[in-house]
This record gives sequence, structure tokens and C-alpha cells, in this order.
Amino acid sequence: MITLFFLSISLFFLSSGWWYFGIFFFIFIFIFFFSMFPLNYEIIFSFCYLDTLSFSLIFLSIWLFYIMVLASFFSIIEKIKRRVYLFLINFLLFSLIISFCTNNLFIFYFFFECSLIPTLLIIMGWGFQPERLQASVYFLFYTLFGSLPLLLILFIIYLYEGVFNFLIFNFLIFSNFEIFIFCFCIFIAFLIKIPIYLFHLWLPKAHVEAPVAGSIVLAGILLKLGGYGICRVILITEFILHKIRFFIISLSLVAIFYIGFQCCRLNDLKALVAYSSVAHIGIVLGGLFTLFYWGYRGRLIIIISHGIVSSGLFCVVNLYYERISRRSLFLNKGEFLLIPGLNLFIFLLLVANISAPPTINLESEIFLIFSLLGYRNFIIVFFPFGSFLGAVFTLYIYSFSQHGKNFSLIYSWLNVRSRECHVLISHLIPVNLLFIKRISFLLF
Amino acid sequence: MFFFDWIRLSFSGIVLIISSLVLFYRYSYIKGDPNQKKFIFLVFLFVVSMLLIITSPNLIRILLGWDGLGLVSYCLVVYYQNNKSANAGIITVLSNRIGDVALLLAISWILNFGSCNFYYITFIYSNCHLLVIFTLVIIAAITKSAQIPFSAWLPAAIAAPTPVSSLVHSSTLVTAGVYLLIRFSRVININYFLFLISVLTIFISGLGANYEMDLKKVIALSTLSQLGVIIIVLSLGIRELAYFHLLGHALFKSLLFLCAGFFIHSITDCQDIRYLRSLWYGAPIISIFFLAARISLCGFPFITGFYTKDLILEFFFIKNINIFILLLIYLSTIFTIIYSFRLVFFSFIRTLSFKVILRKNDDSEIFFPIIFLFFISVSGGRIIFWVFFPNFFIYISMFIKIFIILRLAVVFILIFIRNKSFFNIGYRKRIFFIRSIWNLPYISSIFFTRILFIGLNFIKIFDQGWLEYFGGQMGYKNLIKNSTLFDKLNILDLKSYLFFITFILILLIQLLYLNSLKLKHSVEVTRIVLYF
Repeated sequence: MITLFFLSISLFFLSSGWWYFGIFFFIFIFIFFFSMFPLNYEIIFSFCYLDTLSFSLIFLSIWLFYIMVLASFFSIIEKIKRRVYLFLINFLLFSLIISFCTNNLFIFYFFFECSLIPTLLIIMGWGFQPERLQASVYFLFYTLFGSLPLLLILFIIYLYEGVFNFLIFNFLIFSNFEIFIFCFCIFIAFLIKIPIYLFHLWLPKAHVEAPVAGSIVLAGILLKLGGYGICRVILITEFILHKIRFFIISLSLVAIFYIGFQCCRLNDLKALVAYSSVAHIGIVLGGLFTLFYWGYRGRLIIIISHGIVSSGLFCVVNLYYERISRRSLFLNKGEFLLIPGLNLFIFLLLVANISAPPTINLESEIFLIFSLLGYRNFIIVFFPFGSFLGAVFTLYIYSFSQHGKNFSLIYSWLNVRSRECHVLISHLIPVNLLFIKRISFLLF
Repeated sequence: MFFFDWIRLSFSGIVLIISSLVLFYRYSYIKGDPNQKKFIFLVFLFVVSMLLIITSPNLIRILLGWDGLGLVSYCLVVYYQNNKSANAGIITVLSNRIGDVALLLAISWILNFGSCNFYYITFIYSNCHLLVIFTLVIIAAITKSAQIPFSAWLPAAIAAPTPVSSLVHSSTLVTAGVYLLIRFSRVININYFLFLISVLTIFISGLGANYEMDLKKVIALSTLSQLGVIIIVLSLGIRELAYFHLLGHALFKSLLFLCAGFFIHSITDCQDIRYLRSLWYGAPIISIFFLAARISLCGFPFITGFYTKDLILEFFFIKNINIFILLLIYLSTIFTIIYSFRLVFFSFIRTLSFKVILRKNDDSEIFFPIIFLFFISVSGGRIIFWVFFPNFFIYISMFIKIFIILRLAVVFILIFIRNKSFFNIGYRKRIFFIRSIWNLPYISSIFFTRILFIGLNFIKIFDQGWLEYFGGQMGYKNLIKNSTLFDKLNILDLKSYLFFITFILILLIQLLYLNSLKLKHSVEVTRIVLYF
């Protein structure tokens, strides 16, 4: 945390021309002071509600936006587009932070939708292939389709209760059937955003076509926005969730299984990483909807770790894409000989993805498997498949991309630059060192 | 929290000695390699994760080391950049991953008892949760120790550099599983499932080693059979003996690999034993060390292997085991001797071949660790016997006692009868089956890659099929269809004309019907509609 603090200060002085880093600086200080609070804390102002979850998500989003600017060097290098690009990124960060801070569900909804627009423009404007138009339409309409019922439900609740504040909400004045409909509409919005299996089609498309910044923000934070929303309303709707949670848990377990198999047959590097994040989300949802404290805690950790790791993987894949201009796994072979500098980073990120020892992924996986097995013992039959298949396709990425013969048409490439190393290391440090936080020692 | 007892201290001592010697050995072995630093870091991580396993009373910390061992061993196996080592690495790491997952599940199940420490578990004697836990632990252990369904990775993992194989096969990776079983031995007690698996493993690997032509693979298969012996002893419930055999085996196996590394390195990187001839002339001292390790492996009297292996065999024979399993164990110990002498015959006794040793013997960086290990591995068993051997009382008949010692004589007689042609075996299909340890590498690789082809069906059915159909694509089509509906009505053609006429006719008929009812209200409605 202290290193981050000094890092932000140094950034502030180095890039005096870029005013937005100044904002980062202040927010860093803000979070630096609040993160020294004990394990569970809640801060309630008149308009905002902050606890461990929202703090860590705000921190994650600032961290990842700083990485985004560094990583998307080739998008910024064009001077005409640069201002628009940076404006979009800042607008996105602003709307995300507001939606993580607020205690007003309508404002949350508003900025939740606001964050679609800059992401859409980033995908459409800075993507690479012409398929990006379809991808961005998918991205927009899947989310809108889910979240419009949420708006109606919010208004209905406002008519009866007179507040949008989720701390004061209660559903007790409604009949059982109404509550069921409300819950369905609320959760469908967040579950599509997260995304749950069967509604995940927009995710690989948007990830594949987006530029690196879009991929990072999608994988890192926008998916977590749905998870954040679920965590906020899960306390209100807990009594109804006891009846429908089996459906979501089984769907997420099926997702781990199916997507594990699918990933073994994909050959698009970016799509592989995107699908692996869908599988991870399956574990997250499974753990979260058990409604146990261990699941809740594990979901918090996996949200952070998965956000960092998958964005790091997108960065690495993008670095290969910048050099070789191909995403295919068959053409990205034998990279260890071409670009040995990236070998260590891609290995560390991939094994963090399958929860290697020092990372917080392992910790979160332990937490989530505790809660899942606490829910039903029968899950012991399904969970190993998902965990094992995750290892299969992740190591398959590593082995295929780093070993074997090179694609012989590649004859010139850049070596790894210090900027790129910096980007990847700033992914690896939090993943590998965050286990020092006190949460981990609950286990030992 | 670290926890030390005599098993942990002595085991970590052995691990540290062997790893330091291996790191010393690599000065010469990978001299001039640009990735030397990577190698040192990896070996360091390997040892650290092994020590994490050794010194922890907690299953989660064991998992940390366990995962770490799997991944670092993967990195070490794929150290050389070629297809063969990439495939070997994948088999290695995925087999180990099964163990990781099993251990993860064991952790989550052990929480039923309230904590992840497994120390007090030995005091819970009968519980249904205990059954689940030790089943999972056994699965984890037999993946790490490469027992039968998972034994394909150990012969494949010889694609690593030889110092690494020396470390992996002797004291670190494969012994982690055995170590876990030793820790859980009070829970497992006498387990016939484990017993059967390990008996089959020693038989298959001993048989396979007799037909193998790769120097390192022969040694790897002998490791497999020795691990089988250790696990047999564990499954009969004698953990001290198993542990001592583990220590002795670690010593002479690392010596064997270091010597083999020297031979391979000095005969221009060739490890086929048909090329390894007349090593006796090229490297006499290291040949003696190699021979000593071999003899120790066979259980030659008063060298390390003897003290434990002889006792182990006697223990088998005082148990009530049936004649078939007794025969399997006896045969596999004979196989051990046969393949040892076969290796000696191929590499030392036969005359010169195309390849000769191109290296002088006084390379101190390679020489020192081998000498050191030689002295330890010759005298180590005796030291263990002095220091911490418990008392064993064994009562067996004279016949069986001789039966055990006779196995050496049996081998010599066999060799003497068949003379030189004993070891010369051509290539046959049956031999291929035996040599590839009963097709296990193919079962564990090709068979499962077939299953992964389901993934393509899943993509076609779900992601590019029904989900697309009921998701984005159908929404798009419906949008197009519905938004052009009113456009179609605006076009003046016969169809829309007829549609309009019929529409109006229906309306008029309806109005007539309403008028016939003679209601005041309906007349007004008619007026309004007509006006409209």
C-alpha cells in the first residue's frame, strides 16, 4: 500500500501535463487512509456507503485505470484521438467510482448505465477488426435488455417506499409473488452484467474486439459492477434467495464444466482469456449465492484477484498481438525463443489464473470451495472437473504459445520495453503480495 | 507455525544436502547455458516448496508447497525448448494437478472438524468424514508418487535436465506423496487398496525397466518400483521402515542420476544404452560409483539398500498375503536385480562402440558432489540403522530367509544359463506394450485428449448454436421483422389492398351486428367509427 502511495505521488510529478493523474493522487491518499481500517468497516455519509467491498473495488478501478493508460500506448500515440480517448477513460472512471460509492440505488443504476457509453465508444473507436461493430452492439444490448426491468422495479419501489437508499429498503410490504418478480428483475440485470452462463455471449465478443484498454476495463471492473450490485441487494432479498439459489449455483457449476471443455478447443488467445473469466465468474456466483459468510468473503477476494489477473493476461496477449499482429494460438508458437522477456510474466499470470500458491486466487478458491461444499456435499463430484479443466486449458495456452516451432513468417519484432514490464509487474505485485492482508490468516 | 519432529528434521536435512549437491553439480552440467539463473531460481523454489510441505502441520500450507512443486516441476521439465519436453511437462503438471484438486477438496472437507490442522485427526478413529479425507489424500499422494493410474508422468519427466531428475526422483517431488502418506499413516493404517496399487506398480515398472533402452528412463522406472515398495510398506502400516527406505533410496537414487548425467553429458548428449559401451575404460571412478549405487539399490549386504530392503521383504513374508501377491513381489525384486545388471552389462562390459567418453575425469565440480553422495549413500543406511532404527521382531522360517537371499543367486543363474544373449532383446509388439509400462502413457494422454474433443461440440451447440439463436441473433431478426411490419402496410399492392378490404368488411359486419342489438350506446359507437 505504501509503495502504491509513493508510486502515485511520483506519477503526479512525472506527468504534470496529464491533469487526471492529479485526481488519482488524491483518491490514492483517500484510500490509503481508509484501507488502514480494520477488516470490516462501514462508512455511511448522507449520500454514500463505503465498506471493504466498495473500497477495494474503487481501489482496483483506480489501479487498473492507471495501468490502462500505460498499456494502451499505441492508442494514445495518435495525437488527434488521444484527447478523446483519455476523456472517455476518465469519464468511465468517474462513473465507476460514483456507482461504487453511492448508497442510492437509482444513482447506482444511472452510472451503471453511464459506464456503458465510454466502453462502447472505446470498443467501436479503437478496436481492430470490423467485427467490433457487432461486438459493441452485443455488449450494449445484452446489458440494456437486462437492466431496463431493473429501472421499472426501482420506480415501483420508490412509489411505495419513497427512498432509493438500499440501506432502508425492505420488501416486507409487498406480497410474496411481487417480491419474486422484483428479485427476478433485479438479479437478471446484474447477472447479465456479471455475466452468468447462457447470457455470456456478449463477453467474449466484446473482449476479442476491444482494444487493450477496453479489455482491461471489461475484465477488471465492469464485470465486477454486476457483482457489486448483487452484493448490495443480496441482504434485502436474502429470504427469497434461499428458494432460488439452487438454480444459480447449479447454472454456475454447469458453466465451469462446459466452459472448461470449450476452452480446450479454442484457438483464439483473447477469446480463451475471456472464456476463462466466464468460468471464474461461475465460481464467484456459486460461492456468493450459497449466502454464507465464507462465500461472501471469498467472492471479495476473487473479484480483486480475477480483476487483476485477467487484465494482466489481456495485457500480455495484447503485447503478443502488437508484435505478431495475430491472436491465433497456431501462429503464436515458440514465443519463448522470440520474446523471452515475456515468458516469466505470462507464466506467472497464467498460474495465478489457476490459483498457484502465493496468489490470492488460491485463497479465494479455498474460501469458495468451503462455502460450496458447505451448501451441498454433492458438489465434491462437480467441482474437481472445473478446477482441473481450468488447469488444462491454462497450461495449454502456455505450452502452445511458448514452446514448439516458430511461425516462420515472422521476421521482425520488438523486444520487451520497460513500460510493458512495468505494466505486467504492476499486475503481478498485488496478486502475489495481497495475501499478506489479514484476511488470509483466517485460514491458518 | 512450523513444526519439527525427527521425521521432519532428518528429511529436510536429506533434501537440503541433495539439493545443494545438485546445485553444485550443475556448474559443470549446464555450463554456458544463458538460462542458468532461471535454473537456480527454479531449483530454489522447488526446495522451498518441498520444505513447506515437510515442515507444516497444516493442510493448507501443504497445499501451498504441493501446488508449488507441481508448477515448478513443470517449469523444470520444460527447461529445454522442444516438443518432447513440452509434452512431458504437460503430462507431469496435469497429473500433479489431479493431486492438487484432491488435496483442495480434502482441505475443504477437513474443515468439518473445525480446522485445517491434521494432527488431531489421528485421534478420531471412526468417522464418515475421515473416510472421504483419507481417500482424497490417497489420491493426492498416488498422483505425486506416480502410482499406477498416474504413473505415466514419472518416466516422461526425464525430459528435464539430469540434475533436476536427480532431485525430483530422489528426495523432492515423488517423495512428497509418500511423505503425506507417512503423515496420514495412522489414519490409513492397513489399506488394501493402496497395497494392491503399489504391488502392481512395482511389478509393471520392474518389468518395463527390463526392456527399456533409455538410460534415464531405466533409472526412472526403478524409482517407480522403489516408490511402490515404500508405499507397500506404508499400506501395511509400518511407517518407520517406509521412511527409512525413503531416505536410503533418496541417497543412492540421486547418486545414480548424477552419474548417469555425467555419462550422458560426456558421450555427446546421448542416453541410449546401446551407445553407452565401455564406460569402464572412459570413466573408471564414476563407473564404480554408479555400480555401488546400483548394488545398493539391489540390496547388496551391508550397503544402504540392504538395511531397509531386506527388512521390508521379511516383513512382507511374515504377513498373511496370498501366493499370487507374494510371487509378484518376489518377481519384482528379481526384476530390480536383473535390470541393474542389464544396465551394467550394457554400459560397462561390452566392447567399444561409436561413441566414447570425450571428457576428462578430473572435473572437480562434477566430481565432488558425486564422491560426497557416494560416501553418504554407501554408509547412510548404516548410519540410519545406528541412529534411529526402532526394534523389529521378525519370526520367519529358515526357508523363507534363504528364499530372500536366494534372489541374487537366481539372477546369476539365469544370466549364466542364457549367457550373453540374455539381455539382447529385439523389437517386438509385446515388448513395446511392456516397455511403455502397459500403455499407461498412451492411456493417460491420447485417451483423454479424445474426451476434450467434446469441447468443440459444446461450442457448436451452445455458444455458436442455441445461445446465439435465442440470444443475439434471434433478437436481431425479430427486431428487423417487427420494425418492417408497418413499412409493409404502406406499400400499395394487391395483398395490402385485399387485407385492407377484408379488415373494413369485418368491421362493417361487426357494426351491423352491434346495430342489430339495438342498443343506444352501440349506435353512437357506429357513428363514431364511420365518422372516423
